[in-house]
Amino acid sequence: MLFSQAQNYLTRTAHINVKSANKVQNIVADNYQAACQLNTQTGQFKLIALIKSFEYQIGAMKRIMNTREIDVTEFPKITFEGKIANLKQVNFSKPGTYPVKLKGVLYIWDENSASDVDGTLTVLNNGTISVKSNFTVAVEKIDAEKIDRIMRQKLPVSLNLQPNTLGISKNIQIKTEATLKKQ
Amino acid sequence: MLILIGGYLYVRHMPDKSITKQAADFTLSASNLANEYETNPTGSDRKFIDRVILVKGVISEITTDQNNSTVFILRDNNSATGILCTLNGQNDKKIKRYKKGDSITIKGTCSGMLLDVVLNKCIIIE
Repeated sequence: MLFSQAQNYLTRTAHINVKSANKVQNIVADNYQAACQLNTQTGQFKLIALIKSFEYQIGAMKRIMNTREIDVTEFPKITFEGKIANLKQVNFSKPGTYPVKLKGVLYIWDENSASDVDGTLTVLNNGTISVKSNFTVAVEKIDAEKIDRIMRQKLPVSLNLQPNTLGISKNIQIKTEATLKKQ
Repeated sequence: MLILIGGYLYVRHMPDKSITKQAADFTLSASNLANEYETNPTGSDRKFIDRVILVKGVISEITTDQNNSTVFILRDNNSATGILCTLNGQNDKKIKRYKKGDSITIKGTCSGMLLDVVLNKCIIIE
């Protein structure tokens, strides 16, 4: 059996779906322009996405909202980077689906938090790698005071909004999927 | 964070008018746009994010994203930084006429830069 060489895999069109269900309706945001890199020898990965690439849909009507007024120039992207913790359990030479534990740091705005995420990695017959994960982020982790301050700084002064008046649910669900090709 | 922003926008704002009707804020070649970002990333973010850009370049890669939208990556003269254009403001017939190596003019909204400069809601101009 041939030993699989170290390879860098890449996609520029990974998908991130973020969903928050509240009492009234769902808020969903999709980003189809995320970039994802994976080194199959070290297990290092990096997922990056621009905040402005997210498209919001509110409720069953699927109205698309205008995000022009958010100023993101200080922190235009979010990053999740780390390593596949159980790399030895993945055989990149053998097509199949493997459960993976992604251990890394999530950078959103000026916050970073250590995050462990479960996912599945599928080695396809054509040599591409598909990675999927579903996870939940607890809203308690986010500092409500800080969000309020950021919103006041970055959004129009006419706004006087408290995070809790939006009736946001306690948990935010995040799904990611990426199909990576050998570089 | 994103959900809170989305919620605020639900309360306050109407959707954008379609990109076909918006005039371009900037017109430049793929290599010039890539060069501006490579030289001055933060300044380019301030200049280009949310702006409508008309960009002309050579198609170096064609792919499909997870939403089945066609994505063209424009790259002149083998430059390291390309312009990633997601054609989700456009009907399919025009897209199929183009192949790798063709010159093309695209109008889209800039989201910033990752590995390439990223344009969204793109339409083909010619």
